[in-house]
Amino acid sequence: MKKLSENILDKISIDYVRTQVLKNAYGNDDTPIAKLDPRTLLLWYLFFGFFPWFANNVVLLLLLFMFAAATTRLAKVAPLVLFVFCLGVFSQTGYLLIVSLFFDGNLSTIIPLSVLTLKVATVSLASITVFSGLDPDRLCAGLLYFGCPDKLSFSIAFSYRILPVLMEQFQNILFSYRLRGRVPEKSGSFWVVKNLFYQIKIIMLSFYPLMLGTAKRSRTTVEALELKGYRHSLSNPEVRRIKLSHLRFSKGDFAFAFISLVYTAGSILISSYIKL
Amino acid sequence: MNPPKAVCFENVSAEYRGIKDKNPKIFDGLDLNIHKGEKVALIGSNGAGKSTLLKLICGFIKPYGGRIYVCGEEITSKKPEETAKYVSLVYQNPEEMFIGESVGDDIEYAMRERKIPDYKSKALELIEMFSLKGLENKDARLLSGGQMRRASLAIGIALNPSVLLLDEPTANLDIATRTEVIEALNSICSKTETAIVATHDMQLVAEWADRVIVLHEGRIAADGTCTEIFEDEFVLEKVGIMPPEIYTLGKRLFGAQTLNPKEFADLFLREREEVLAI
Ligand SMILES: Nc1ncnc2c1ncn2[C@@H]1O[C@H](COP(=O)(O)OP(=O)(O)OP(=O)(O)O)[C@@H](O)[C@H]1O
Ligand SMILES: [Mg+2]
Repeated sequence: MKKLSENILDKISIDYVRTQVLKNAYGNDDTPIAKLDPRTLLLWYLFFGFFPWFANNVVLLLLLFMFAAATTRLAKVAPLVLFVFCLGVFSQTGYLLIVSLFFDGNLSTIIPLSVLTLKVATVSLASITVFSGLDPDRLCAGLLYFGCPDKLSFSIAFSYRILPVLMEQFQNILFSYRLRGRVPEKSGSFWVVKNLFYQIKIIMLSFYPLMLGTAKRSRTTVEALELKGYRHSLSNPEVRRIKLSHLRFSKGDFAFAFISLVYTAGSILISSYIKL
Repeated sequence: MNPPKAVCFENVSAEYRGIKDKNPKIFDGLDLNIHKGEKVALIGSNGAGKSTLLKLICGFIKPYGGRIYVCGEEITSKKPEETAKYVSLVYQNPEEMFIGESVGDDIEYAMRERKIPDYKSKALELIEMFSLKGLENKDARLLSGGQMRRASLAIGIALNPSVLLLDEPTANLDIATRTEVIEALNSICSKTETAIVATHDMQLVAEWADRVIVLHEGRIAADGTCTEIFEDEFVLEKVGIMPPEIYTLGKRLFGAQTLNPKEFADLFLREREEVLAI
């Protein structure tokens, strides 16, 4: 506790989070998944994001989970994202599963819980694969193709871009506070608490200049976009055509679709034979 | 004997976290000594590592190898709150320094937090010194570029640091404001012992610095006085630096080393008199 409170500021490194976000957005463009056409990935996601919710067979879900996990591995997902994934699954249903395993570990409680856990896990892994495999620009192209409003796809790309910038700025502002602030005196019995309070306080305070700075910056961005005729381009079909003209299906896309199909069909077949 | 050291790097290595698998190494075993009282200009092309070097000195980023001493104290494992006693950094982007409600509040902030007696009157002095009078109740983000820069300088020296670090203090300024900032810089340097400026502004280097360090790809490519560096064509060629025009002009016309317009004008008048005398 004491060690932790002394230096949360040094431990939770915003720099780490920032590079992980960047990694997730731009860092893995050389994986097999990233080579696929965004449309293939989105269609694939349409299936793997929905189908598990309607499946209730543990074996089938387990097989689908394994497939999703394999694709996640292929996509070389950033460790932080995987960690958040585990945390998410655990906080949703996983902890119930573990608790019930400890208390009365009979199958009648474990199976329904593991069904739910597997569903959540499979869908999340599929999402992670798709969103790590697609950099923001390709994601937008894919969404645009399927008729998603241009404004939405633009917002997604923009927030991906702006997030690392914001984090860097946050780091700088936080450092401004630290350079000018004073750590509570190392004496008295409440020092640990005081120090913790000081660190949390400057983290909170840093958001305020960040927001003001961002507000000012977004105005510049919007003005720049307007100067380039962004709003007009939204409704222009020619712009849409140019934006989408680079999309091509390749052999890899067909192979990926084929493997997914065969695997899913096989899983359904196998699971209908094995009864738990 | 050498004067005491203000900043000392011993075999310092630093890197950033990379987006791809490998972390980009910025410095690998860098040694550097800066003595008290020196006015150092740090030059080099974009991405040479100037800002990174400044961030290392003030403890914003930590090296993964080697030691850094500031004013004789090792700061490698110190908190920024502690290093702030000796060093102060004025950011490349002044907006990120504004954390108070107004310019005046920002200038007072550090002194108030650190319970420095008479901080009010000291803040007033600074406001006077950087001609920010009448602006002290405005939100600092709403100032003009030059005013922001002056405010950031005032914030930077509020705690009387022995080592002042400035990251591109004259970038994006018009000529009038630039002159103001250079004047402010000169008056600052009468207050602090040591100043290190990272810059691309060769005119500033020529007029202000008494030592120039050229960084190139994380290494020190050259280190010397302004004239030594401007004469070293090999380094200039390699790093892609142009001496200020007044220097080139002085050299071409008179074969002399003129670092600022005044020196050039004096020389010019002298030469003309000599010609007229003949
Ligand atoms: N936060 C960061 N994460 C990863 N790499 C970085 C980061 N900041 C800087 N770099 C890299 O470190 C190297 C040195 O950068 P630095 O900012 O120190 O250069 P600089 O000399 O200040 O350049 P400039 O003249 O453009 O300000 C560059 O290659 C840059 O890409
Ligand atoms: Mg820089």
